[in-house]
Amino acid sequence: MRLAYVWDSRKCIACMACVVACASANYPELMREAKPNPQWNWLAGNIRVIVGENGGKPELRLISCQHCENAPCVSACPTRASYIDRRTGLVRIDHSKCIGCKACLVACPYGARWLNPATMLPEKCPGPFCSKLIENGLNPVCVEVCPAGARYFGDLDDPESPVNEELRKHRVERMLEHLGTNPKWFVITG
Amino acid sequence: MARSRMDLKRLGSVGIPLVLVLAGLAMVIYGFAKKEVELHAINWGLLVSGYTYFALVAGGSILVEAIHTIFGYKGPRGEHEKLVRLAIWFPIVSLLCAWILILADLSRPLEFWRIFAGFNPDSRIAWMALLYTIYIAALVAQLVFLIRTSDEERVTHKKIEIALASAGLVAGVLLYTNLAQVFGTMISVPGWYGAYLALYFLTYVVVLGAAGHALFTMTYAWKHKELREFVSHYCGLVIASSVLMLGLLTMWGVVTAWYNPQAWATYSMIVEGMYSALFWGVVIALGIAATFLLALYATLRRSAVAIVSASTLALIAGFVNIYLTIVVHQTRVPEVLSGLYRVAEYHASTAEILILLGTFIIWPSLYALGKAILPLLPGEKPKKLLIFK
Repeated sequence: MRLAYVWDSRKCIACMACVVACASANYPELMREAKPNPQWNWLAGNIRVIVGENGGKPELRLISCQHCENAPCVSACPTRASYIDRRTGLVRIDHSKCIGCKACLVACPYGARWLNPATMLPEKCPGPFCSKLIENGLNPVCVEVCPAGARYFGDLDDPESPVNEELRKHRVERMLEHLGTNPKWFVITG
Repeated sequence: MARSRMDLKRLGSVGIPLVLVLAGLAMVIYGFAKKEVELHAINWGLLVSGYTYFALVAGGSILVEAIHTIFGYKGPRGEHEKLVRLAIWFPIVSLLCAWILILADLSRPLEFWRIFAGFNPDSRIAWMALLYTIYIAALVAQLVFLIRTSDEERVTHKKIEIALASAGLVAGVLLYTNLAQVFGTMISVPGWYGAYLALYFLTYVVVLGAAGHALFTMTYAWKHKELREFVSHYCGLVIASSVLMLGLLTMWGVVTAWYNPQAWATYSMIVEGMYSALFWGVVIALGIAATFLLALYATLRRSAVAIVSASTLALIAGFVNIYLTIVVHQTRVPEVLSGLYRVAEYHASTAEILILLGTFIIWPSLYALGKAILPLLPGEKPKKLLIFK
């Protein structure tokens, strides 16, 4: 199984429902205490928003863990606390093994990791709540709450999965693909 | 009366450094307890810079020492041989300071053993831990060997001494190229990424190691004319020749970055931006040019004042440059959209400054404590508990 995310940039209305849902569902204690994600000075969740410009128009990107098959964070981790889950293909963190050296935060070219101010340990997608959803065969919250239906989640090895269906139909790109990270997070651009 | 004055002097030579070591440790522990996650901060800041600094200082002094143990150079009148135990104690102390800083930078330092339990061979940091262990074990074994053996025994056991020194030297070279790879393999930070960093770090190892060795050894050699002149001449030669290479590699890094817009985003801050005064004034003018001239003068005139000045400048400028290299390149990293950068700000926190100051207090104090309780000086022999005076 190789679980992957697809985000349709054409459908996204930038409502930030996924951002808020991720933070509320996965880190409710930080939300209650109004503690931010310190790396991004942003809601304590796993989704970061960046806005650039393309031909005079704003260009939006939602950044979270790309679940790279050749993940720099996994290579950098000295204790194997960051690892690729063979059952799902997702990049995960075993916090019990983490020593907090922050090498994974430095190594990630997407800036998809942040340091939990309560535990001083790294966090990333999927958070603890979404991990349970995925283990039970459900979609992560960002996919469930998207009002525009711009997010998809599924198995790349299953030809019938919604992600494969979208990948077959549209032109897609993977962010920073030239770095050789082989990410499993696809952006529909056309 | 004379005896009691001697006892008092000995008590002071042990007690004062011991109190300072404990005070430094207290500052480190207090600082660690006060550590917090900063907003928009970089991931590796002052503590990692300090750690890298001490690690590089430790590496160079073993190279200085290996010229005697492996290649048999004793100095014109055996001066190098007389200083060899001090020369090994210095990197041990510097490595301990590096360990203090890297442990203080971890969120969970007591879980450090997990690096060995879950060793990831793809991780440069995992290799650092292993190589450090080998390196410090080789240094300690070498020091114990030199303390426990007489001059006559050293001749008959020369192969053991060479084997221990060689193990330390090989582990050291691997260690410092690996340390450079910790930074140089990070594709996420263009200012670090590149093979040249290994050569740069190895050159820094020689400059800082020789400077540290000269400065700390002078605390003993200053009173002995022949040792003072030898250290001035020998360390001056090492520093003068290696600091030129360092200057070349520093500018090589700048020129290489000029052709890489993503690397130039941070290099430009160092070369022509807010850090340019530190770079041109401290790193280049003091750390390269003035250090070279003073070290050359020390070599030619065997001037102790010149070598102490050159070493001090090299150590201060070295810290500044390592800080700039590690910190500044993390403050602008490319985003996924072309032309955009993720901007971070960094101001060392009070906790980090406290930890670093504590370590800088421990460094000379532990060195002095070693001199007071271990037979490191010429002619001293172990009398208590196998290795103590």
